[in-house]
Amino acid sequence: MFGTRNGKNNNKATKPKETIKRIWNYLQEEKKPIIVVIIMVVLSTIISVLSPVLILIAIDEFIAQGQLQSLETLLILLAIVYFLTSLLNYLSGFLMVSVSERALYKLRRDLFNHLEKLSLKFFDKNKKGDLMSRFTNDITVISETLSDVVIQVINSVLILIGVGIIMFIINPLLALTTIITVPLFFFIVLKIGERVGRYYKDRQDVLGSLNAYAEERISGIEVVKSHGKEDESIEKFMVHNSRLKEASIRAQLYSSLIMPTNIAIGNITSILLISVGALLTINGKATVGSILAFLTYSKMFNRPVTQLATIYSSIQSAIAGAERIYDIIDHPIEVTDAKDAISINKIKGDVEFKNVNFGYLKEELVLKNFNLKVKSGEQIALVGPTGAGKTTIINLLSRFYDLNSGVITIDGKDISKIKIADLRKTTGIVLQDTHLFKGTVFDNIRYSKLDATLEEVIEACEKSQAHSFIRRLPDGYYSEVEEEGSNFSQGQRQLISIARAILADHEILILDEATSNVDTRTEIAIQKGMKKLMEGKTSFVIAHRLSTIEKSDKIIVINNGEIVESGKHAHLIDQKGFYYNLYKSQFDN
Amino acid sequence: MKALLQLTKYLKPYKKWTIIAPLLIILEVIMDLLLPTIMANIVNYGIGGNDPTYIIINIVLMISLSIVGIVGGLGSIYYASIASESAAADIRKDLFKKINSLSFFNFNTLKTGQLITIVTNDVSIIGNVIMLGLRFVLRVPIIIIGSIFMAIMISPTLSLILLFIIPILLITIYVIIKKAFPYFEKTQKSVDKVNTAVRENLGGIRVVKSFVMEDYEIEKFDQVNKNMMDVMIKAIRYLVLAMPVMMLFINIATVLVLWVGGKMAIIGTLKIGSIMAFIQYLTNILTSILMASMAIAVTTRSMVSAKRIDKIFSLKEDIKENENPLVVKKIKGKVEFQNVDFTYQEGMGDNVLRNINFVIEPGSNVALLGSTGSGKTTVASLIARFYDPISGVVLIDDINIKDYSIKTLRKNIGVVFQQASLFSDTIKNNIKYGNELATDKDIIKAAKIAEAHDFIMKRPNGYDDLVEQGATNLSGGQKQRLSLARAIAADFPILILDDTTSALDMETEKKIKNSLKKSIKNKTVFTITQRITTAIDSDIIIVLEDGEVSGIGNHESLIKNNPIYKSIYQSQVAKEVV
Repeated sequence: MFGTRNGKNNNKATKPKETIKRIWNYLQEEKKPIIVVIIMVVLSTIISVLSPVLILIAIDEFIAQGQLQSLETLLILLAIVYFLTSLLNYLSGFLMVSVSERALYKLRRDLFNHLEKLSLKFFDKNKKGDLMSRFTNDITVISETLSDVVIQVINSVLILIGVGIIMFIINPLLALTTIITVPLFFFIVLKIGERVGRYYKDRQDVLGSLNAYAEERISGIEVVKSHGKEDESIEKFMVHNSRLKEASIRAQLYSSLIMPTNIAIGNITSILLISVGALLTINGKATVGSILAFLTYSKMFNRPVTQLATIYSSIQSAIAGAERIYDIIDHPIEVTDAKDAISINKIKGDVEFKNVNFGYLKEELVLKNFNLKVKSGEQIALVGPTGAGKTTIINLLSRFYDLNSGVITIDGKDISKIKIADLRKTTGIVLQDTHLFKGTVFDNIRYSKLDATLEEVIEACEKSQAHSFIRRLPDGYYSEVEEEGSNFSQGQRQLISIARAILADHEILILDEATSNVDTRTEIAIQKGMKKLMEGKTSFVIAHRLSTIEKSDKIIVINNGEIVESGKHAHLIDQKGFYYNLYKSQFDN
Repeated sequence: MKALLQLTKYLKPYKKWTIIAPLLIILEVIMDLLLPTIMANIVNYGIGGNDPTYIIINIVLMISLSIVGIVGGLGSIYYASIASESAAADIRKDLFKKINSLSFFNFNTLKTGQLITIVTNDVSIIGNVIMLGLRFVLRVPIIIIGSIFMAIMISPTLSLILLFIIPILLITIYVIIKKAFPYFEKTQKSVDKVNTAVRENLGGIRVVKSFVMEDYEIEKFDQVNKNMMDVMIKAIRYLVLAMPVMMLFINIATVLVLWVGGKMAIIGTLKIGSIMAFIQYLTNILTSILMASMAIAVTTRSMVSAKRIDKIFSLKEDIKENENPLVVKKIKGKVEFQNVDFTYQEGMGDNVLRNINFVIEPGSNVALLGSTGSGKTTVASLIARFYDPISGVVLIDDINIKDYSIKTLRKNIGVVFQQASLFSDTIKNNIKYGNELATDKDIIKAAKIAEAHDFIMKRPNGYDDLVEQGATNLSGGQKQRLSLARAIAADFPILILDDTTSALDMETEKKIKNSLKKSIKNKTVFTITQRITTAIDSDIIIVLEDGEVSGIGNHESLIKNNPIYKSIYQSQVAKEVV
């Protein structure tokens, strides 16, 4: 469903009505300000439509007749009217900004909230960059449209009607002269607008592929350089670059056409008006003042025409953006609490997998008829070659995914019947890929237990061997962690995430290659802390280095999604089977 | 400003267009300037004097002038967009070239994301500014000056109104920009914060879920989200102010003209048609001033981009070739370090490498062993001349590495990194990246040595399967094996493997090691590792400790003579196997 982002019809809305209705719902929650805005826009439009009439009277009635007194009174009135228009325009814009920004806030909130609830399956399938771009690009497109649309549409339509009526009242012949160019004008602007939209989209696509290319070659620069392929990189870049140049010229060209077209059409209308007006005046069928008024009106009349034509295309892309956002919000949450989900609080830690079948894609089974019984307090090691299904087992235990068939129980209770939050609170995971958040080291460690004191945090860090390096940081526990922990080494990140798990004090503990990125000496130290942590707890340990799991209560050897052997280290070595060979290959030199 | 002006040199190849575009604009502007006067004449003399011939002549004149104007306008857009986008494309090209010529030293301080933003966004901004410049640089001043001139011609008295209204307008614009600017800086920050929050949650979704912190994250996001809304509202409210204020100025000026002009017309010192024309010129002047201030604002913002571009251009390329670099097709593979000292940042504590000396004969199998931070990777980087030593020399085949052409080094020394980068292309093309002449047989052979053949064959399209952007469709271990296969296919005389097998399980690693040993005989291979089991059966093991060579030899000699080696061995192996 999300794979079509680069498809050709990216900017075409598929169900515009529904989407507009949903966005309108966000706006509707602010009924009062919107009504006020509408009233103000109507008022200011009416006033601004009427003001040229005042000018007409000023010239034809007062200046031409030499009535200075009345002229001055009228001009004062005109000044007040102008002032009011500007004030109303400002106030309506002022109010509308809050309305639309609040709507955007809610849209972002709903999108984020839904994302947090989606299951890992969704994140496996969708790329981070694509999801990111919905937060940034798509919402920006909507925001650019949202704040203008309401005011501009009302304003444009009212001006068209109002000015039209007044023009016909003042002088039907001149009115016809003005309006005659409108269809042509509208058509041209609409066509140009469509092209601009299309060419910008083209340009965006080309820019996207240049971007992707540059990213790949720059982030892989060491490969490019170490193979001496800089020239080839540059050559290919130039192909993208010249395509971008052509697309940009086209986009620039058409988008800059709008202004001169406006001016040109304005001029044509003016010339027409003057010509017809002059002839009419000589024949006594028009006045100089009315020509002047019509010159103003023709400009007033043309502006909303342009506006409506351009709004049309921006609404189109805003709706397309909104649809992409609703794609996510409408995505069903796959892993949810069962209706009759039970709460669990303290558990013993018995775990059982009964006839479990599972695949990330339904048809490709990763675990096949998997059975495993673990007693509370046991330390289980999961061993096997890359891709055997070890990580999958622990993914299922935390219910990151639902099973194809079979049951997993904790203390005899089916985990799909337990509240997800309760389930995950009993199981602590330390992953191979550690993730730190922007914030202080302190905050990152107590992420698992928000009310932990500094003493508790330090205690956990001492156990995980993180204390000594944290202590040496410039600001100790209050040192800042940058985005994605980029200012810490992989090993340090892992120590922090181990401390996090220690602090959380779960009944069941899962360590997925938790010490793969620390050097051997540190690892030995961590092992000691881990041992203390695992005392009396059910634990699952995945490790490539078999030396770290020799003392486990039970070693489960997995290959191709099935258990091939299990038992204690000594027992498995005696068996001279799969485990024995794995072990031998690591130490036999 | 200086940075921006420097970039205008990119317009040089497009001189013709750069000059024609503004010239054509002048044509458009002059026509625009003449129209109101002609209109006034029609009203004053044609209608006033009841002279149809005069009217017709002038209408024909107006039509011809506007056609000339339209042609000028369109032409200038055409040439301006060609000139500006061509210049932008050239800047982009030079930037990418420059990035490719930078050394690893430079890349330590640059982030990929940043570089890409500069190549795409910043250059686009500059392109837009050039376009804007070509179109407005002459237009705005000519309109303003021309309109003022025409206005004075019509009525010097009325023109006094301009004297009054223009300064007030300028001050108002200045105040609004001044007030709004800080808010817009804040909006950028708030947008960044929202993006960071989203990115973090997307990246760490497993952590969030496993600690059941969804609600906490939602709460946290709500704060940055709300903050963004508040800041946005404040900033945009200034923007909303601009149009009404501008309109107020134009309208009030119109009222003033009608008042003063009306009085004059009543006395008879001014014709009614002239009032009309004057109002036109006045509107021209004021809108041009607004345009100019917007152009100035855009240009000011673009200076940040120009500065960023300039920063890349002015980076020093610190790995330089000699004037007559030595080009060698195939080197033999002897590597020697003589008293090499190195540091990444001079003046920052101890050197990373101190007094490194060793000689490696061609065809040797060498292990660089040491714990994190001992300098293993740095030694390898110096062999490939990613950096230059601060003192001492690195020799290859008894010739100073600095005497070779960079290309010779890159074609002869292969490095396989722990972080494997692959390109979005087929698996096959990825493997033959370093050797375009590689046959299918060579490719399969390389893949087999790297233990990649089996998993490649399991993929739907085998060797023709596509690697996605960022290789997201491959596991860490698969990526490492492909990047190893790529280096094997390239057939480098010197091969450096930097912890290349860290994501593989021990068994696969061992298989790779054995087949590597068998298949590549006369190559010098350096293996960087902290696992003693990986190093143990190498011909030569160089033990590094804290930036110094602590021992060189094979396993037997080191275990006897080198206490550090012995202790590593004991901590990693002896205890477990015995």
